Amino acid sequence: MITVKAFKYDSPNHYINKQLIDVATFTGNLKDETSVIDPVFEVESSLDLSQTNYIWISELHRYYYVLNIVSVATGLWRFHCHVDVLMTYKPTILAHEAVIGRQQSLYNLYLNDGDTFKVTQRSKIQQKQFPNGFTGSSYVMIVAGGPGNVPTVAANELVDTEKAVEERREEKEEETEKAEEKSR
Amino acid sequence: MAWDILRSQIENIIGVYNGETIFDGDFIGAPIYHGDLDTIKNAPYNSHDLSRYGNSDSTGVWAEYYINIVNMCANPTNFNFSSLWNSMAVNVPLKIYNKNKGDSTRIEVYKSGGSQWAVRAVANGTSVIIGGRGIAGGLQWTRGPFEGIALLKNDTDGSMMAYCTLSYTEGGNPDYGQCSVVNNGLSAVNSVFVSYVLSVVFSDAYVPPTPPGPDSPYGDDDYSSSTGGDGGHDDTSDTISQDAIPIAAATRTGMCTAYVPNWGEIKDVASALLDPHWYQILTSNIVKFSDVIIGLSVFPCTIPASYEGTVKGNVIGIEMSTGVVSHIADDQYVEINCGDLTVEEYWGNCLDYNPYTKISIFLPFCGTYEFDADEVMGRTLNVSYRIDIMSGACLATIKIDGSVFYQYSGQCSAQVPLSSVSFDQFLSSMIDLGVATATGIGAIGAGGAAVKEASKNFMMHPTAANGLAVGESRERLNEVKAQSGASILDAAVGAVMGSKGFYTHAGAMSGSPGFLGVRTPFLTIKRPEQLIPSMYGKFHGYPCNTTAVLGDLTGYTEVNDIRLNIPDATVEEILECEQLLKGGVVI
Repeated sequence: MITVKAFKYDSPNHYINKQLIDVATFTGNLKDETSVIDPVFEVESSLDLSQTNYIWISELHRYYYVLNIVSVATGLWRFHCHVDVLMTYKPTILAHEAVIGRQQSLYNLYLNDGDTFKVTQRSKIQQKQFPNGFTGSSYVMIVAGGPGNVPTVAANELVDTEKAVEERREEKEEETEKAEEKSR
Repeated sequence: MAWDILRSQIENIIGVYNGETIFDGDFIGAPIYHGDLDTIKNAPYNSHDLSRYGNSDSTGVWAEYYINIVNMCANPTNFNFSSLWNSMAVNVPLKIYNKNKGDSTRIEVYKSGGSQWAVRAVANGTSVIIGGRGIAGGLQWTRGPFEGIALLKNDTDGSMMAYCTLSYTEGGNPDYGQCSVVNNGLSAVNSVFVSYVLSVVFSDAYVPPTPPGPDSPYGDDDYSSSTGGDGGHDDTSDTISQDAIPIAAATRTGMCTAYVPNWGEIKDVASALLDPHWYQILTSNIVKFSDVIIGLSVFPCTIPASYEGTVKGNVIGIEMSTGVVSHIADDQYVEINCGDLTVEEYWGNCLDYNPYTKISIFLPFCGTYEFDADEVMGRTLNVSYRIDIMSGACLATIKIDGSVFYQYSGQCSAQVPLSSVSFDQFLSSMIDLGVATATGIGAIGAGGAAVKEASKNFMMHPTAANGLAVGESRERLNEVKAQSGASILDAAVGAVMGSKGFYTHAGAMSGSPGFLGVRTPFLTIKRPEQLIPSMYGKFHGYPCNTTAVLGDLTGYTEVNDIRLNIPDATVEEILECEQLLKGGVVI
C-alpha cells in the first residue's frame, strides 16, 4: 500500500525549501514496476488533477516534480514524475559544508570574478586639490663672495679711486725727484 | 674488487625479505673469479672433499674456495645476511633459484624455530631436507654467524645444484661452511664438485650502477610530505621618512651670498649695477658682470630671510658694494608643505582599485604623474617640496600614510637674464628643459641645431607627455581582457576600463612655464560608473569564495565545491544534486 500526496508549489524549481499546497492524497498499490527516480503511475480520481505539479510518494521517500499529466480516461490520470533531489534530501544537503562561489547576502565585493561588475562607458571624473601650494614670490640674487671685512670701495667712490691712483703716482714722482736732488 | 664484479654480474636481485623473498640470481655465465675458481672448475670430479667441516683452518681446495668466496665479501657490511636472517619468519622460506629456469628447482632456506634452521632442496616436484642445524636428516651443519647462501653450480644445465652456506667471524678468519648438492631431487654429499658460483644471496638489495650520461634535468620527485603554506605572514611595514635637509650649504661657505631683496631693493641694485663707473672698473680689471652677480631668480614662494646686509660682491680681492641693504636668505634649502589629502573609496569594491580606477597627481613645476590606485586608495597623501635656492631645483615628495612613496624633481625658479649672453642661455635652457621633460631624453644643456631639432620633434611627434599612444592603449585592453575573459560588449568593467586610455594632463612644467600654471598640487581621479541592478544579488548572488555550512546561509547560493554524502540517494540523484548546487539554488 502506498500513499501519494499531490501538491501544488509556487516556488521556483531551484528552491531547496518549497511551499506546498495540498491538493489530494491517494492510497493504493503499485500495479507495475516503477522507477524510483522517474516514476510513472496512474491515479483514479474524480478530482481535477490537471494542475497538480508536485508529488510525494511515501514508500519511495521522495518528492517529485510532475513532468507531465496524461488524462487517460475520465477520472484516470497518468503522472510522469522526476525526483526533486533538493527537497527530498534537504536536511542532509543543508548540513553539508561547501566552498561557496556566490551568495546573496554573504559576499566579498573586493573579489572580481569578471562577471558581476558591469559599468557604463561613461566615467566619473573628480579632482581633489591639496590644501596648500606655492604662494607669494621672492627674488633671490646670488652674489660672489659674502659679507666680509675687506676694505670696501663704495660705488660712489669709484671715481675717487681712480683719482687716488693718479695722485699716488704723482706723489711718487715727486718723491723720486726729491731723492735725486738730494743725491746731487 | 671481486665483490663488486660479482655483484655487477648478478642481475635482478629483487628486494628484501618480506615473508617470501625471492632472490633472483642469474647464471654468471663464465667463471667470474679466475685463478682459484678456474682451478676448481677444471678439477676432476670428486677430487675435492667439500664435505669437510669443523675445520676452520682447513687447507683443502674446498677450504680455499670457501676462502675465496669469503674474500669476495670481505667487508661484512656488503654481505650482511644476518639482518635478513633475523627478520625472517619461522618456516617461511627464502628461495634461491635460477630466474631463467624458474623456481621448480630451487633451494629454500628457512628458520624452523629457535636457533634451528633448515635448507630444503626442491626439484622436479620433490622436496628434501638437505641440511640444517638441529634438523633431523640434516647432514651438515654450520656454526654461526650465518652469513648467507652461495648457490653453486657444477654443470651447465642446472641439473645439479649445490649450495654453500657462508660464515664469517669477527676475527676475519673464515669459518667453515657446508656444501651439499641437489641432484634430481636427491641429495648427495661428499661428492661435490664446484665449478663456479651461480649466485650469491645477500641481504641488501642490489643497486644497479647508474648508467653514464647527463643528469636528468628534472628534480627528484618527493611526495613524502607537503610543502608550502608556511609563509611568514609578515604584515609589518617600515615608515620611510625623509632625511633632514642638508646642513652643508653653499651659502655658508662664504664663496657666495644669497640675498632676498624686495622689489624696491632689486631696483636699487639694478641702478647701482648699471652705473657707468662700474663698467669702467669691471672692464679695466677684466672682470665680467656675471662674475659678480652670479644669478638672479624669481621663486614662487616666500624665502625665509631673517638677516639684513649690504649687497656687495667680492671679486679678485676687490669688494664692491652697491650700498643697498637687503635681506639675506636663512638657508640654501627651503621646505614647503602642501598638506594632506585622503583618497577614499567610492564604490567600496574592486572598482576602486587598479586597473579600474586611475589616479594622477599634478605637481607644480614637475608635471603630471600617474599613481598606482592600489597604493593610495583609502590612504592619506602628503605632498611637500624641498627647494634649492642656489640652483632653483625642487624635489616633490609624496608620502602615503607618513611613508615616502614617490619623489619627483623639477625646476621651480624663473631666471632673470642679466645680460644678452645670459638671455640666450636662458632661452636655450628653457627649451632643453621642455624637450627633456616631455620626451625623456634628459639632454639638458644641448644647444644650437640639436635644440631646434629636438623642439621640432617634440611638436610633431607626440609622445607620452602629450597623450596615450594608440598602441599602448590597445596593449592595455588586451591585458585586461585576458584577465577578465570578457568582451567589451558585455560591459564588464575589465573590458570597458581596459579599452580606455589614460592621458597625461600636463607637459613640461618646470621653470617659467610653471609660474604661468597651477601652483597647488591636485589629484585627478577617474572612476568607472558602476551599473548593477537592484535585485542582482537575488538572482545572481555576489562573489563569495568562503567555506560555509549550507544551512547557515539564506538566499541565492552557488556552490563551487562540495563533497555530497547522501546515504539514501542513488548516484544519479547525488550527481543531480551537485549539479543543481553548483548551478545555483535558493536556501
